[in-house]
Amino acid sequence: MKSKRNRPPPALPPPPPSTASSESDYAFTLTYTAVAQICSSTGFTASESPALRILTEIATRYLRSIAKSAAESANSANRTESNLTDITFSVEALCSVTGFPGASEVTGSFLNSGAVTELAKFTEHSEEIPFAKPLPRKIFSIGSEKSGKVLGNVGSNSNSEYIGGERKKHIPKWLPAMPVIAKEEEKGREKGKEIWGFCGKAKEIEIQREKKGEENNDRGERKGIELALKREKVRFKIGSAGGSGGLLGGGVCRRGGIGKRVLCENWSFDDKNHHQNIGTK
Amino acid sequence: MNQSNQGQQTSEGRHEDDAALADFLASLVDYTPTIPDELVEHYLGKSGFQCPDVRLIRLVAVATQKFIADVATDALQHCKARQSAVVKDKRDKQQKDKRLILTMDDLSKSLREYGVNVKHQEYFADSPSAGLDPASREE
Repeated sequence: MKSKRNRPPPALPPPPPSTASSESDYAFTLTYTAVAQICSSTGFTASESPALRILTEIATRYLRSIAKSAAESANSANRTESNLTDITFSVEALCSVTGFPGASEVTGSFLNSGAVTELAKFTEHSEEIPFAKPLPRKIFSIGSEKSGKVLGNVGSNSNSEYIGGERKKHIPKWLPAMPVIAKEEEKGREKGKEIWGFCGKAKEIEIQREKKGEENNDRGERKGIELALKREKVRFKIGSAGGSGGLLGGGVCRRGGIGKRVLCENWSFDDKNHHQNIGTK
Repeated sequence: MNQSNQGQQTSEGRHEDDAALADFLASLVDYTPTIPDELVEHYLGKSGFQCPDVRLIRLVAVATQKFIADVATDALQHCKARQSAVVKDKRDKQQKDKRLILTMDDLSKSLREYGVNVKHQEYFADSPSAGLDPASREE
């Protein structure tokens, strides 16, 4: 009986597809791992590689379709940010293939949506399996913050190359790496209030990371936040003609505009007298 | 909690639903879905989804996790059913009893119930002589 089991197992959870060259590959690899974890939690001991790949692909599409429909319903309600209602509706729409309790009720509010209630049951009864490895914060959301780190360590010479390669092309070179989001994040952390976009979610783990003592990185990021390129001071002199005519047109200037003062240099005497006359009259 | 109050008056029931939903959302703060938040954010952001609330991100993660878990559970049932059907071949049974393997067949069967049609190649030939008889291959 034992000898029959000497065969090598057909397919253990295979190593995730080699190297993650791009961001999407990396995301795929992470999803792959998560899906493999979910499968093993349901009772599978092993999996064929293509099956797991397909399941990963489906998980990705599921996420995307939730996001798409939630974003669409938010947009149609004149909002940019999706809320619970949008997500509930999109989850219900996706669950409608298999059906969920209360799907037939037309008048039911989203508060007692059967789909969401099932999700609540799922979280209660299923075992909580955290992801295999804790991820560094902001691997995706704020990619240019990483660039801040790089800039801080390497120096400002690699600045332009890095920015030119990594950043979007429509952003001018002299703009620092995503300063607004990072600053908002700090502000939000101080206030402990809700903040915009991706920064809000970054809050908690950001704090954890600080506890772990990655202060060096933070310093690096803060360097990156500030203006990387030093620029010369530029001074402007407004029209030398205006300067020379200053004495003459001094009186005129208060009444008329700057442009008039320059143009009226020739007949400013008359003008001045005229105005003075008016003034005296 | 939610179901016990369904028989009561509408307003109370609605209040209870509200409370249950609020409890669920609050519990999501401490819950760690298998799909990490960053990953979900990444995919959501790619599809134009914006939301400042971690709880909603986790709600989406939980929904996806549940979907995958459901599909995997169905596939597991298919797998078990298939194994119990093949009792004749004793060796096969003994070997497979110990290990449950997610195969394409089971997965495509279970995915069909969820409205996903998976077509896959029976196999890929990695060399031109892969499908030939071993005897002819050696020659």
